[in-house]
Amino acid sequence: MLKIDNLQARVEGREILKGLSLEIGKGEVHAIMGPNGSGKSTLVQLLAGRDDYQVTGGTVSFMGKDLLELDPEERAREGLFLAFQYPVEIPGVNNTYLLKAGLNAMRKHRGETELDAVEFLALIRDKMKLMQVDSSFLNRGVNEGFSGGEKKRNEILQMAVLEPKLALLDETDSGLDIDALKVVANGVNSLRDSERSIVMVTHYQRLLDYIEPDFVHVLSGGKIIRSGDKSLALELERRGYDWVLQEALEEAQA
Amino acid sequence: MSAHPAEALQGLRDIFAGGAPSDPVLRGQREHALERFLERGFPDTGEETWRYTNLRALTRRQFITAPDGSLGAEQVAACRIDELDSHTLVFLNGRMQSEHSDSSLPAGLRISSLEALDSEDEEDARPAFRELNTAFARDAQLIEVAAGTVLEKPLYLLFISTREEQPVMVHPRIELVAGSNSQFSLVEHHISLDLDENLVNTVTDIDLAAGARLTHTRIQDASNKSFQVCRVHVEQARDSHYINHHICLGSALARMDIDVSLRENGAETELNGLMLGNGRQHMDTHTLVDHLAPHTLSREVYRCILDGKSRGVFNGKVVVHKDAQKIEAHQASNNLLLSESAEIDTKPELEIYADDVKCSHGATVGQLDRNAMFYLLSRGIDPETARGLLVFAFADEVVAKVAEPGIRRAMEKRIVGRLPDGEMLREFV
Repeated sequence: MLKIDNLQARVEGREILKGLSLEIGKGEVHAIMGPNGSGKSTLVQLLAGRDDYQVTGGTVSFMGKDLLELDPEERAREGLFLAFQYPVEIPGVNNTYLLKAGLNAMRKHRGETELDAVEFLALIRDKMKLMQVDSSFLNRGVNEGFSGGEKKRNEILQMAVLEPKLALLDETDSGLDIDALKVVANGVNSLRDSERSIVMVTHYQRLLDYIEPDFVHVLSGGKIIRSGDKSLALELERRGYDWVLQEALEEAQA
Repeated sequence: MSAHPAEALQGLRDIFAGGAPSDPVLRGQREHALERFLERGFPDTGEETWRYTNLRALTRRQFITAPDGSLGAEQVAACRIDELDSHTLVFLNGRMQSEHSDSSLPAGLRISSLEALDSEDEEDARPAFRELNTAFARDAQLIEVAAGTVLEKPLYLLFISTREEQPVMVHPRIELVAGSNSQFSLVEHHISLDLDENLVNTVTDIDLAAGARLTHTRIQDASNKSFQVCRVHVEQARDSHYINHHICLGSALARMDIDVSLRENGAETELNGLMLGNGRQHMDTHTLVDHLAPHTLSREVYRCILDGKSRGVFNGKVVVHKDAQKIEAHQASNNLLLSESAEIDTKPELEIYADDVKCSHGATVGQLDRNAMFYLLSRGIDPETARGLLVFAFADEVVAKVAEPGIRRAMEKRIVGRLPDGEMLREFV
């Protein structure tokens, strides 16, 4: 699905990713954890195509294509989705329009017929039920006046409509109370299947109680310094990050 | 004082002689206004309020007064906002078209022709374009709304311009008197049937008695070769409420002056405007709000979107007089430049002589929000559509304030039609 090899990137002259390698297989769920400023958000935004980052080395292939050669909208149409840590408010652009436009751009890209308004509404109503989103949502501006929880639910609703092959969730759990977290996790879990891969970036083990990962990675200093299964997350929860950093340092010295 | 081709100004005298009213008093008023105009000529960029707006192209054009003409029903239908349920008056190059206008009006609304315009005994100089309007106005309308009248349907004044052998000068004149506690909506729509090069110079005087509420929507969607000048003057008594929505799309050069006097306690005014310029269009809005009494409120939101080599000017002046304590005055001028060559000059002017007031102003000039752009792209939307959606959204925040849904939808369609890559947005709007 996704193969990142020795990726190096800088932003405003500062090196953020320093030779990051990671492989995500089809249907797998990965969690990327790490201290603040380790490069987690940079990684997922760079993968989605944000142009603030300058790639200075390494390769990324997505479904066999050179991801770094594609524009952001092409990446989305190929099936890559980013749930934003801070979803943008766009007053005046209607939620429904955004979703319909996005979905139809993808359908067109895949050679499928575009949905008309009636077909689209039928499709979105089911997904809205899943995400417990009120019907007034359809007539509101994109994220306009939404609470933090509503914004995150809206991100997962978009994911449910767009049905990506690879979803990158950037701190989708932060700022959510436990009820909102359950709704979001429930939405994500319902989208898990053997064809779809998910990468979650998070600070907290709490999310992983609800969305169980197959793999857990620790990102620090622009590199993956340790990988394991979900027990690694529990250990990090118990012991913090210092011991992993220390072990990584010792390995590097050895 | 400005230099203008003598023959152009002499031409005005000849035109005047041909069309002035026969009543000696009325004729005298108009002659007086003409002479006052001719003494000064058109304003030039030496005057502070005309600093950014050069009328050279206008002064070089030779205008005639509107020849007699009539419109077919289809032509009127092509111009009017069809989703608007209204009482309607139609004008062709400033002349009232009775056959297309509603003859029966609801109780409490009275429309008559206005003969006496500005009197001669006023010492202070009036603005030049007002003098010109007084000299040449035809079919001026007096609109009276009786005290306590609440009218559901708006009064829709549809001003249609056409291309004639020579550019036409049109001077629409409206005086609206709203009685106490009346509630009313006036829609002025200026539109061209073809690519005329006319001058449309409108004067609208509004008087709101205590507790009166008026929504005044003005849509200027005229030919891109025309000149559009308008002056709106509003006098507000106690607890009256005025809302102005101004949507400016057309013309080669447009100049709007809105003056509001908040004369008594509790008067509130809300001014919203959108200027959408492209090519070499020049659009200038000057507002003046006079807070003359305590507890008055004004709120201004002006947005300007400029593409190509277009130029925008916004000057918002607020004067808070000495005894006008506890007033609120807020002003925002937000501007979007879509090309390197577009230009905006925006300036707030606050004169405050009271000490217990709440005033704010803010001006922004910018390009599209990068975060919003990336968000749309990341959902698979192509860059042209994403850009168009964001520009549309910026404009629509002004349009969304208009209460009548028929106008909102018509304006949204028009705006989409005028945006770069607007075609792609049609299905979203």
